[in-house]
Amino acid sequence: MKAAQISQNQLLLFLILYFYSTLVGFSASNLIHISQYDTILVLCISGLTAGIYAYFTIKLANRRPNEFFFHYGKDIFPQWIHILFMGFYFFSFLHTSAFVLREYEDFIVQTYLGGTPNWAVGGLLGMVVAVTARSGIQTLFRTAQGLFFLILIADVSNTIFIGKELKWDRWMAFITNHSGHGIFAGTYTTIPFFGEVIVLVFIFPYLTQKNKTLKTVFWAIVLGLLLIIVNFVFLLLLFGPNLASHITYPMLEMVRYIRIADFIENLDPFLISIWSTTVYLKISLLFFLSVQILAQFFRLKDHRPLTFSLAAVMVALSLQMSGGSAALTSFYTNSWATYSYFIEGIPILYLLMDTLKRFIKKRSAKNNKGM
Amino acid sequence: MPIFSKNKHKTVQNSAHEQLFLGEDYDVRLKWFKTTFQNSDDITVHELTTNQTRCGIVFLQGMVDQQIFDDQVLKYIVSPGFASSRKDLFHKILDLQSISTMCTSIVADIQEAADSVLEGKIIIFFEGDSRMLVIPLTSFEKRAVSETTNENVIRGPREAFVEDIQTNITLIRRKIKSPDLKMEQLVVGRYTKTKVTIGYIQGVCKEELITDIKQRINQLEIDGVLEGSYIEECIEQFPLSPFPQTQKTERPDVAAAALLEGRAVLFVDGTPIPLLVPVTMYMFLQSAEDYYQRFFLTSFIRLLRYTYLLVSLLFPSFYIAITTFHPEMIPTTLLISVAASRDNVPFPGLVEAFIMELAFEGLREAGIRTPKAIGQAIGVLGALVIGQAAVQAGIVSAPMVIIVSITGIASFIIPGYDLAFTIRLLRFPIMILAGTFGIFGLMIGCILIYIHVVNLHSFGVPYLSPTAPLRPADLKDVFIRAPWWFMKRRPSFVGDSNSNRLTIKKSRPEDDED
Amino acid sequence: MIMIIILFFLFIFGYEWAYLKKKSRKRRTFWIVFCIMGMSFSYCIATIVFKNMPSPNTLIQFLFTPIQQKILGKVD
Repeated sequence: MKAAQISQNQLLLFLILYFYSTLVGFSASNLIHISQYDTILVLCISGLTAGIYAYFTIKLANRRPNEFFFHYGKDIFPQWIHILFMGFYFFSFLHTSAFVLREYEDFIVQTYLGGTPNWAVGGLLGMVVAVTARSGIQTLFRTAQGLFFLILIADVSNTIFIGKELKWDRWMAFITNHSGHGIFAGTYTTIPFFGEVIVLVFIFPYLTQKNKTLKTVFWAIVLGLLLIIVNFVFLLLLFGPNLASHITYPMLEMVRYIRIADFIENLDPFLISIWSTTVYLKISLLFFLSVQILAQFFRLKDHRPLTFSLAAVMVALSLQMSGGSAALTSFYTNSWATYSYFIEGIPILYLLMDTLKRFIKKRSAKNNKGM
Repeated sequence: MPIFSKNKHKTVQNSAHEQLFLGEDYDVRLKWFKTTFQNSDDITVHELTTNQTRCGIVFLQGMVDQQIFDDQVLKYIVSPGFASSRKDLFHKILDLQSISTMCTSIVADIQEAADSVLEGKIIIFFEGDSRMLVIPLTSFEKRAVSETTNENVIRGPREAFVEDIQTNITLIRRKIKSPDLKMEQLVVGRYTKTKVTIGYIQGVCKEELITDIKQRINQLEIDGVLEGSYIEECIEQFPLSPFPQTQKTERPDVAAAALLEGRAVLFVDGTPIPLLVPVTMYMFLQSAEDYYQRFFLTSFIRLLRYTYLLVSLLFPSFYIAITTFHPEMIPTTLLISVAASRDNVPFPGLVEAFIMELAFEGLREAGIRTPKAIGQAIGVLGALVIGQAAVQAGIVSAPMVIIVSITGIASFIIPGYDLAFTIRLLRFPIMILAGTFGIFGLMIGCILIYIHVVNLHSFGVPYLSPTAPLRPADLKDVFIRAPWWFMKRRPSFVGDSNSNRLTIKKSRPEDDED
Repeated sequence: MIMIIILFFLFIFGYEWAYLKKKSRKRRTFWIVFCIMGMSFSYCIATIVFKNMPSPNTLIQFLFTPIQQKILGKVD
């Protein structure tokens, strides 16, 4: 497979959008519900942990920088275990993309397109994702590069216009109100969001200037956090933790607060559709990885012929995975985090195993020399 | 994108005709010419005898300057004192070519001689020698260099290219007086034998680009080339894309500027519009005048163009999406007046928009095709009258007429006509998406177009460079036009390395005053 | 609904067939691609025909909810 080129700059912008997308849009309510005013602290700790994740992931990837994880993995673990893990990854990427797609479908149908069936929304977005994945990862990252500035402008203008609506007297609570359990539980559910940096291990061969990757990821985390924190602080200052945690999509409600010069009443469909592109990017990446793993499993020359078939599976899965919004929320709050730890731990397992193997090899080499 | 890419060009070599040598026999060759040009009464085969040598003159009537030929060539050949014997005659004419016209040449291949005749050259062949003299006295009626008609400017040169390729090349040579400016000629077309010239500046333009273009053109086997578009459609990388992948211009200064940036110019004989490659989308939004006016004004106009590009693409869809799905987005008073005017319109917004857009496109097309004398009547005035009547008849609502007019005007603001056409075309699918899914559909449409454009390449250059992939250094001539003294390096995404294009040696006088 | 799915799959079948033919791929690739397409098709149809198909979410929930509850304690 010919390696496409993704510059470090593209990676940076993409990761920022990746972190920003669903955490702010879909999970704000739940997170605020758990952590209240500690949310900011929780986000910072999670970001830090993500840095550690990224460090280990890149360490693993850097050992064989130009090979695909799928290919070198079987040197580390026995082949059948590796294939099992990869199958697991294939499923989990497909599942996660379907899950995010479902969240998005529910969101759009509930807020704007009442009466439109889920499958129409899912099918349309699924098709776009398939086309993107088909044209390859380079396109995806270039797309992100262009969209980044648009999204940044939208977000900044949002914060500027919302500024005057905030209740600044609430700020004291950020310092005074703390709860140990809230921090713990919040961090536990938030780390997996940032933990998704492990996707790096799959896209590493595509990168240029690989030695700068860690720095890039570090900056992506910092800048992404900054963007997310600003949004969360505004949410808390605007609604307070109690109200914010009882609205399904607090972000949307916040955007609806914007009034420009008493003329433009509601900009939300506009801003939300800009934000939607980040969700689309996230789904596309996860979906692409899943297709890629399948193509590598069958040793195909390229992944392209598989995209549309798998996209159909993704859309069907998103529709079939749960009966309704409530079931989806319960899945998300009760088990998603732990499940994600399980997935995200796998590269670290590989790293451990690889290090161990190297250590043993070195020792036996030394022993051989000694003898 | 693979969906739109054409991977296999048919590899057929350009048909080099077979050579044919008929030897020294005069009558054989005479017969050959007469049979080859049978029933072509405009090709004249003239016979005469001088120094006891029969000689034949073959030429195409109307394509040669007979006056000069008679005065400068024929007169001397037939004059008694020109040569003493047949041998002397051959020595003077064929060995020394001592004839008072430039660029004469000698051929022995009779096929090549016939081709030369068709190009407007004069052939003289003699009894007793296989060599033939070719005298290029081509002269035919051509249009004089005149003022631009499509790409008008207020400040800047006014001349435009013409149909004759030689004149066009001269227009460029007059602007760029450097030996590095290369003009390589190819011939395309089985019957038309059209000259195609690739112009570039060596050292500024990438070598690979020229090799690539030449290779693509050489792969072409086509009956005829009457306009640049014949070649354009055959050599572009994504033949199924709606987006134009070559730029067209009728202005020598635009072509010269492209050459200076490291791009290549493809002149095709017979058309006043050469092709400029490679191209990025942003180049279609730049006009020649951008570089002649002050940069503040230009930057403002550029931003205006980008805005209107979006308006032209999205405005009707946006209107449909808002009125159908998100009425809360517009202020209540406006909403009420829009709703009131739509009250007695029987169609949904989407249908209404389609009717009006199609009517507008029809009017525009009719305006171009109608004879000039009555074309004025149909133009904008006709559109307004029809719009007014349609509103009164209750077929469409008044806001829709406004929307469609604004969209129509917006598409004229885009300087690149090709891109404007693409945008007009893409408007319709987006309107359908917006009519069925609201803003969400609008977004999906935009993303689809965006992915396609990101994937697109024009001769190896990404269509959206320098924004995706991002090259910050080249951004100063994209959304705004930075002042000339700031654009010190050539844009790096097209040309060969980003070498200096401007240095100001002395500090400018006003710097000292501060 | 089933009609739409059939039409969609007919379309991508033709499209991928043309794509693979154009790139003159091995017979093996054809098999793999169209087997996966077939599986995808049957899954899509199955989701419509059998409304109560077991969802992967249920499995994940079954496995991980107890662990998460143990770690976090009961979050109401």
